Amino acid sequence: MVKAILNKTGQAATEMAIFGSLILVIFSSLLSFIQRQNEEQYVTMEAFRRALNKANDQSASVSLNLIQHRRFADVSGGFFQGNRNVIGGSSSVFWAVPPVDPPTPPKNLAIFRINEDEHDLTQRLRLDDENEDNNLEIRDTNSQGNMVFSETTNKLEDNREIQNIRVSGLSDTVTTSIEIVDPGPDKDNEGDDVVVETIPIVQNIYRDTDGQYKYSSTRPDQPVTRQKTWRTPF
Amino acid sequence: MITQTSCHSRESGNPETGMLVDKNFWILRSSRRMTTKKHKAQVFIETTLFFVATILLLLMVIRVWVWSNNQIAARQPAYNHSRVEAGTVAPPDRAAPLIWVVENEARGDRRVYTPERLTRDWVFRGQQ
Repeated sequence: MVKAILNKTGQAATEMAIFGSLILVIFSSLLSFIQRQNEEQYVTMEAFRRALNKANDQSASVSLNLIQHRRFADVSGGFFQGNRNVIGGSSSVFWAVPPVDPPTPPKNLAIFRINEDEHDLTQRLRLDDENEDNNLEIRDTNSQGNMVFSETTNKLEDNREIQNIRVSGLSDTVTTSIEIVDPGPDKDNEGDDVVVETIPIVQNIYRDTDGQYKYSSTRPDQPVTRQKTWRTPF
Repeated sequence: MITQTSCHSRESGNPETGMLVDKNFWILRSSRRMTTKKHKAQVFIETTLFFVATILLLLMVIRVWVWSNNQIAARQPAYNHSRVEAGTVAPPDRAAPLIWVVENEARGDRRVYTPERLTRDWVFRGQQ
Protein backbone atom coordinates (compact mmCIF):
# COMPACT_ATOMS: atom_id res chain seq x y z
CA MET A 1 0.00 0.00 0.00
CA VAL A 2 2.79 2.40 1.00
CA LYS A 3 4.79 1.36 -2.04
CA ALA A 4 1.81 2.03 -4.25
CA ILE A 5 1.43 5.51 -2.75
CA LEU A 6 5.13 6.28 -3.05
CA ASN A 7 5.28 5.02 -6.60
CA LYS A 8 6.38 8.01 -8.64
CA THR A 9 5.06 6.69 -11.93
CA GLY A 10 1.59 8.03 -11.30
CA GLN A 11 2.63 11.01 -9.23
CA ALA A 12 2.51 13.55 -12.05
CA ALA A 13 -0.88 12.33 -13.19
CA THR A 14 -2.21 12.41 -9.64
CA GLU A 15 -0.87 15.91 -9.03
CA MET A 16 -2.37 17.16 -12.28
CA ALA A 17 -5.70 15.58 -11.43
CA ILE A 18 -5.77 17.08 -7.95
CA PHE A 19 -4.35 20.53 -8.64
CA GLY A 20 -6.08 20.88 -12.01
CA SER A 21 -9.50 20.26 -10.54
CA LEU A 22 -8.59 22.43 -7.53
CA ILE A 23 -7.69 25.32 -9.80
CA LEU A 24 -10.93 24.89 -11.75
CA VAL A 25 -12.90 24.94 -8.51
CA ILE A 26 -11.09 28.12 -7.39
CA PHE A 27 -11.70 29.85 -10.71
CA SER A 28 -15.31 28.73 -10.71
CA SER A 29 -15.73 30.17 -7.21
CA LEU A 30 -14.22 33.48 -8.32
CA LEU A 31 -16.61 33.69 -11.26
CA SER A 32 -19.59 32.78 -9.09
CA PHE A 33 -18.57 35.37 -6.51
CA ILE A 34 -18.37 38.28 -8.92
CA GLN A 35 -21.54 37.18 -10.68
CA ARG A 36 -23.32 37.08 -7.34
CA GLN A 37 -22.09 40.58 -6.50
CA ASN A 38 -23.39 41.82 -9.83
CA GLU A 39 -26.77 40.13 -9.50
CA GLU A 40 -27.26 41.25 -5.89
CA GLN A 41 -26.69 44.88 -6.81
CA TYR A 42 -29.10 44.52 -9.73
CA VAL A 43 -31.83 42.90 -7.63
CA THR A 44 -31.45 45.42 -4.79
CA MET A 45 -31.83 48.31 -7.24
CA GLU A 46 -34.78 46.67 -8.94
CA ALA A 47 -36.54 45.94 -5.63
CA PHE A 48 -36.33 49.59 -4.61
CA ARG A 49 -37.52 50.93 -7.96
CA ARG A 50 -40.45 48.53 -8.09
CA ALA A 51 -41.45 49.35 -4.52
CA LEU A 52 -41.19 53.06 -5.29
CA ASN A 53 -43.30 52.58 -8.40
CA LYS A 54 -46.01 50.73 -6.47
CA ALA A 55 -46.02 53.29 -3.67
CA ASN A 56 -46.13 56.15 -6.15
CA ASP A 57 -48.90 54.55 -8.17
CA GLN A 58 -51.15 53.55 -5.29
CA SER A 59 -50.13 56.21 -2.79
CA ALA A 60 -49.22 53.59 -0.25
CA SER A 61 -46.65 52.16 2.07
CA VAL A 62 -45.19 49.25 0.17
CA SER A 63 -43.09 46.33 1.28
CA LEU A 64 -41.77 44.54 -1.76
CA ASN A 65 -39.82 41.31 -1.77
CA LEU A 66 -38.06 40.34 -4.94
CA ILE A 67 -36.83 36.80 -5.46
CA GLN A 68 -35.10 35.86 -8.66
CA HIS A 69 -33.57 32.65 -9.87
CA ARG A 70 -30.48 33.40 -11.88
CA ARG A 71 -28.36 30.95 -13.75
CA PHE A 72 -24.69 31.21 -12.87
CA ALA A 73 -21.70 30.17 -14.92
CA ASP A 74 -20.56 26.66 -14.13
CA VAL A 75 -17.25 25.63 -15.62
CA SER A 76 -17.76 22.00 -14.69
CA GLY A 77 -21.31 21.83 -16.05
CA GLY A 78 -22.58 20.92 -19.48
CA PHE A 79 -22.88 23.05 -22.58
CA PHE A 80 -24.76 26.24 -21.53
CA GLN A 81 -26.02 24.42 -18.47
CA GLY A 82 -25.06 26.71 -15.58
CA ASN A 83 -26.57 26.30 -12.18
CA ARG A 84 -29.54 27.95 -10.56
CA ASN A 85 -29.02 30.41 -7.71
CA VAL A 86 -31.53 32.37 -5.71
CA ILE A 87 -30.94 36.11 -5.39
CA GLY A 88 -33.24 38.10 -3.16
CA GLY A 89 -33.81 41.73 -2.37
CA SER A 90 -36.41 43.65 -0.45
CA SER A 91 -37.39 47.25 -0.05
CA SER A 92 -39.94 49.22 1.94
CA VAL A 93 -41.09 52.54 0.57
CA PHE A 94 -43.60 54.97 2.01
CA TRP A 95 -44.45 57.44 -0.72
CA ALA A 96 -48.01 58.48 -0.23
CA VAL A 97 -50.10 61.54 -0.90
CA PRO A 98 -53.30 60.41 0.81
CA PRO A 99 -56.60 62.14 0.13
CA VAL A 100 -57.53 64.82 2.66
CA ASP A 101 -61.24 65.00 1.96
CA PRO A 102 -62.22 62.72 3.53
CA PRO A 103 -58.90 62.01 5.25
CA THR A 104 -57.82 58.52 4.36
CA PRO A 105 -54.82 56.75 5.81
CA PRO A 106 -52.37 55.39 3.26
CA LYS A 107 -52.67 51.76 2.35
CA ASN A 108 -50.21 49.10 3.39
CA LEU A 109 -49.22 46.78 0.57
CA ALA A 110 -47.20 43.58 0.65
CA ILE A 111 -45.93 42.62 -2.78
CA PHE A 112 -44.03 39.47 -3.61
CA ARG A 113 -42.38 39.43 -6.99
CA ILE A 114 -40.91 36.06 -7.82
CA ASN A 115 -39.06 36.11 -11.10
CA GLU A 116 -41.57 37.43 -13.65
CA ASP A 117 -44.69 36.94 -11.51
CA GLU A 118 -45.99 39.52 -9.09
CA HIS A 119 -48.33 38.62 -6.23
CA ASP A 120 -50.13 41.07 -4.03
CA LEU A 121 -50.37 39.37 -0.64
CA THR A 122 -51.99 42.29 1.16
CA GLN A 123 -55.35 40.55 1.54
CA ARG A 124 -53.85 37.22 2.49
CA LEU A 125 -51.71 38.81 5.18
CA ARG A 126 -54.75 40.77 6.40
CA LEU A 127 -52.78 44.00 6.29
CA ASP A 128 -55.96 45.97 5.60
CA ASP A 129 -57.29 44.90 9.00
CA GLU A 130 -57.12 47.88 11.35
CA ASN A 131 -56.39 45.58 14.29
CA GLU A 132 -52.71 44.79 13.88
CA ASP A 133 -53.02 41.70 16.06
CA ASN A 134 -54.89 40.01 13.22
CA ASN A 135 -52.06 40.53 10.76
CA LEU A 136 -50.32 37.45 9.47
CA GLU A 137 -46.66 37.07 8.63
CA ILE A 138 -44.52 35.29 6.12
CA ARG A 139 -42.25 32.94 7.93
CA ASP A 140 -40.24 31.54 5.08
CA THR A 141 -39.94 31.07 1.36
CA ASN A 142 -38.54 27.85 -0.05
CA SER A 143 -37.49 27.09 -3.57
CA GLN A 144 -37.31 23.64 -5.08
CA GLY A 145 -36.39 22.90 -8.62
CA ASN A 146 -36.53 20.10 -11.11
CA MET A 147 -33.94 20.43 -13.84
CA VAL A 148 -33.56 18.20 -16.87
CA PHE A 149 -30.50 18.71 -19.01
CA SER A 150 -29.50 16.88 -22.17
CA GLU A 151 -26.53 17.34 -24.42
CA THR A 152 -25.53 15.81 -27.74
CA THR A 153 -22.41 16.19 -29.84
CA ASN A 154 -22.34 15.42 -33.55
CA LYS A 155 -19.40 15.35 -35.90
CA LEU A 156 -19.98 15.75 -39.62
CA GLU A 157 -17.08 15.30 -41.96
CA ASP A 158 -16.86 15.72 -45.71
CA ASN A 159 -14.06 16.48 -48.16
CA ARG A 160 -14.19 20.23 -47.42
CA GLU A 161 -14.56 20.59 -43.66
CA ILE A 162 -15.30 19.03 -40.32
CA GLN A 163 -18.27 20.27 -38.36
CA ASN A 164 -18.62 19.72 -34.65
CA ILE A 165 -22.14 20.46 -33.48
CA ARG A 166 -23.13 20.63 -29.84
CA VAL A 167 -26.75 20.86 -28.87
CA SER A 168 -28.11 21.14 -25.35
CA GLY A 169 -31.62 21.24 -23.97
CA LEU A 170 -32.36 22.72 -20.57
CA SER A 171 -35.69 22.32 -18.87
CA ASP A 172 -36.09 23.75 -15.41
CA THR A 173 -39.17 24.08 -13.24
CA VAL A 174 -38.96 25.98 -9.98
CA THR A 175 -41.54 25.82 -7.23
CA THR A 176 -41.35 28.64 -4.71
CA SER A 177 -43.46 28.15 -1.60
CA ILE A 178 -44.49 31.13 0.49
CA GLU A 179 -45.50 30.09 3.97
CA ILE A 180 -47.93 32.38 5.75
CA VAL A 181 -48.22 31.95 9.50
CA ASP A 182 -50.31 33.35 12.32
CA PRO A 183 -47.71 34.58 14.81
CA GLY A 184 -50.11 34.39 17.73
CA PRO A 185 -50.17 36.86 20.62
CA ASP A 186 -46.39 36.78 21.14
CA LYS A 187 -44.98 37.77 17.76
CA ASP A 188 -41.39 37.37 18.89
CA ASN A 189 -41.87 33.73 19.79
CA GLU A 190 -41.69 31.69 16.60
CA GLY A 191 -42.55 28.53 18.50
CA ASP A 192 -46.27 29.26 18.64
CA ASP A 193 -46.57 30.15 14.94
CA VAL A 194 -49.44 28.41 13.19
CA VAL A 195 -49.16 27.81 9.48
CA VAL A 196 -52.23 29.31 7.84
CA GLU A 197 -51.43 28.87 4.20
CA THR A 198 -48.67 27.81 1.86
CA ILE A 199 -48.72 29.40 -1.57
CA PRO A 200 -46.88 27.39 -4.22
CA ILE A 201 -45.74 29.27 -7.30
CA VAL A 202 -44.63 27.04 -10.16
CA GLN A 203 -42.52 28.64 -12.86
CA ASN A 204 -40.80 27.35 -15.96
CA ILE A 205 -37.61 28.54 -17.54
CA TYR A 206 -37.51 30.37 -20.86
CA ARG A 207 -35.03 32.51 -22.72
CA ASP A 208 -36.07 36.10 -23.27
CA THR A 209 -35.40 38.14 -26.40
CA ASP A 210 -32.38 39.78 -24.74
CA GLY A 211 -30.83 36.36 -24.16
CA GLN A 212 -31.50 36.25 -20.43
CA TYR A 213 -32.83 33.14 -18.75
CA LYS A 214 -36.05 33.90 -16.91
CA TYR A 215 -38.77 32.01 -15.09
CA SER A 216 -42.49 32.56 -15.42
CA SER A 217 -45.66 30.69 -14.51
CA THR A 218 -47.23 31.62 -17.83
CA ARG A 219 -44.57 29.80 -19.84
CA PRO A 220 -44.95 26.15 -20.77
CA ASP A 221 -42.48 23.53 -19.62
CA GLN A 222 -40.38 23.48 -22.75
CA PRO A 223 -36.62 23.00 -22.89
CA VAL A 224 -34.40 25.90 -23.86
CA THR A 225 -32.31 24.70 -26.76
CA ARG A 226 -28.82 26.05 -27.38
CA GLN A 227 -26.65 25.07 -30.29
CA LYS A 228 -23.21 25.90 -31.57
CA THR A 229 -21.28 24.69 -34.59
CA TRP A 230 -17.52 24.71 -34.94
CA ARG A 231 -16.23 24.45 -38.55
CA THR A 232 -12.74 23.37 -39.45
CA PRO A 233 -12.09 23.71 -43.21
CA PHE A 234 -9.34 21.62 -44.78
CA MET B 1 25.91 6.87 -25.87
CA ILE B 2 26.07 3.76 -23.78
CA THR B 3 28.95 2.38 -25.84
CA GLN B 4 30.96 5.57 -25.37
CA THR B 5 30.39 5.49 -21.66
CA SER B 6 31.48 1.89 -21.36
CA CYS B 7 34.70 2.75 -23.24
CA HIS B 8 35.27 5.66 -20.91
CA SER B 9 34.89 3.41 -17.89
CA ARG B 10 37.48 1.00 -19.19
CA GLU B 11 40.00 3.73 -19.81
CA SER B 12 39.78 5.94 -16.79
CA GLY B 13 37.65 4.08 -14.30
CA ASN B 14 35.29 5.76 -11.94
CA PRO B 15 36.04 9.51 -11.96
CA GLU B 16 34.79 9.89 -8.39
CA THR B 17 36.83 7.10 -6.75
CA GLY B 18 39.57 6.61 -9.33
CA MET B 19 38.90 2.88 -9.33
CA LEU B 20 38.09 0.72 -12.27
CA VAL B 21 34.54 -0.48 -11.91
CA ASP B 22 32.44 -3.07 -13.56
CA LYS B 23 31.44 -2.25 -17.12
CA ASN B 24 27.83 -3.22 -16.57
CA PHE B 25 27.60 -0.95 -13.56
CA TRP B 26 28.66 2.03 -15.67
CA ILE B 27 26.23 1.16 -18.40
CA LEU B 28 23.44 0.89 -15.89
CA ARG B 29 24.45 4.10 -14.13
CA SER B 30 24.71 6.00 -17.40
CA SER B 31 21.34 4.73 -18.50
CA ARG B 32 19.85 5.96 -15.23
CA ARG B 33 21.45 9.37 -15.72
CA MET B 34 19.95 9.65 -19.18
CA THR B 35 16.57 8.59 -17.93
CA THR B 36 16.77 11.13 -15.11
CA LYS B 37 17.76 13.87 -17.53
CA LYS B 38 14.86 12.97 -19.80
CA HIS B 39 12.51 13.00 -16.81
CA LYS B 40 13.85 16.36 -15.70
CA ALA B 41 13.28 17.81 -19.14
CA GLN B 42 9.81 16.34 -19.28
CA VAL B 43 8.90 17.71 -15.86
CA PHE B 44 10.30 21.10 -16.87
CA ILE B 45 8.18 21.17 -20.04
CA GLU B 46 5.08 19.96 -18.23
CA THR B 47 5.52 22.50 -15.45
CA THR B 48 6.04 25.32 -17.93
CA LEU B 49 2.96 24.37 -19.92
CA PHE B 50 0.96 23.98 -16.74
CA PHE B 51 1.98 27.41 -15.47
CA VAL B 52 1.32 29.07 -18.82
CA ALA B 53 -2.12 27.46 -19.03
CA THR B 54 -2.91 28.41 -15.43
CA ILE B 55 -1.83 32.01 -15.93
CA LEU B 56 -3.85 32.27 -19.15
CA LEU B 57 -6.87 30.87 -17.36
CA LEU B 58 -6.31 33.31 -14.50
CA LEU B 59 -6.10 36.23 -16.93
CA MET B 60 -9.37 35.16 -18.51
CA VAL B 61 -11.05 34.99 -15.12
CA ILE B 62 -9.69 38.45 -14.32
CA ARG B 63 -11.10 39.77 -17.59
CA VAL B 64 -14.53 38.38 -16.74
CA TRP B 65 -14.13 39.87 -13.28
CA VAL B 66 -13.30 43.30 -14.74
CA TRP B 67 -16.27 43.09 -17.10
CA SER B 68 -18.61 42.28 -14.25
CA ASN B 69 -17.19 45.08 -12.08
CA ASN B 70 -17.69 47.48 -14.98
CA GLN B 71 -21.36 46.52 -15.09
CA ILE B 72 -21.77 47.35 -11.42
CA ALA B 73 -19.98 50.67 -11.84
CA ALA B 74 -21.82 51.60 -15.04
CA ARG B 75 -25.25 50.83 -13.60
CA GLN B 76 -24.92 53.13 -10.62
CA PRO B 77 -24.72 56.51 -12.47
CA ALA B 78 -27.78 55.62 -14.54
CA TYR B 79 -29.57 54.68 -11.35
CA ASN B 80 -28.61 58.01 -9.75
CA HIS B 81 -29.58 60.07 -12.78
CA SER B 82 -33.02 58.48 -13.00
CA ARG B 83 -33.73 58.92 -9.30
CA VAL B 84 -35.68 62.19 -9.57
CA GLU B 85 -37.83 60.92 -12.41
CA ALA B 86 -38.59 57.70 -10.52
CA GLY B 87 -39.64 59.60 -7.41
CA THR B 88 -41.79 62.20 -9.13
CA VAL B 89 -45.43 61.83 -8.16
CA ALA B 90 -47.55 60.67 -11.06
CA PRO B 91 -50.68 62.61 -12.07
CA PRO B 92 -53.82 61.18 -10.42
CA ASP B 93 -55.34 60.11 -13.73
CA ARG B 94 -52.30 58.22 -14.95
CA ALA B 95 -50.47 55.16 -13.71
CA ALA B 96 -46.95 55.79 -12.48
CA PRO B 97 -44.48 54.31 -14.93
CA LEU B 98 -41.75 52.02 -13.70
CA ILE B 99 -38.50 53.91 -14.14
CA TRP B 100 -35.85 51.28 -14.46
CA VAL B 101 -32.29 51.81 -15.57
CA VAL B 102 -31.85 48.95 -17.98
CA GLU B 103 -32.78 49.32 -21.60
CA ASN B 104 -31.09 47.83 -24.57
CA GLU B 105 -31.63 50.41 -27.28
CA ALA B 106 -31.32 53.80 -25.60
CA ARG B 107 -27.59 54.45 -25.73
CA GLY B 108 -26.40 57.94 -24.85
CA ASP B 109 -29.13 58.62 -22.33
CA ARG B 110 -27.50 59.18 -18.92
CA ARG B 111 -30.55 57.74 -17.19
CA VAL B 112 -30.22 54.47 -19.01
CA TYR B 113 -27.70 51.73 -18.53
CA THR B 114 -27.02 49.52 -21.50
CA PRO B 115 -25.39 46.23 -20.56
CA GLU B 116 -22.20 45.49 -22.43
CA ARG B 117 -21.98 42.07 -23.96
CA LEU B 118 -19.36 39.71 -22.68
CA THR B 119 -17.59 38.74 -25.88
CA ARG B 120 -14.64 36.58 -26.82
CA ASP B 121 -12.67 39.66 -27.83
CA TRP B 122 -13.14 41.08 -24.36
CA VAL B 123 -12.00 37.94 -22.59
CA PHE B 124 -9.27 36.65 -24.88
CA ARG B 125 -7.92 39.75 -26.64
CA GLY B 126 -8.22 42.40 -23.97
CA GLN B 127 -10.70 44.52 -25.90
CA GLN B 128 -11.81 47.63 -24.03
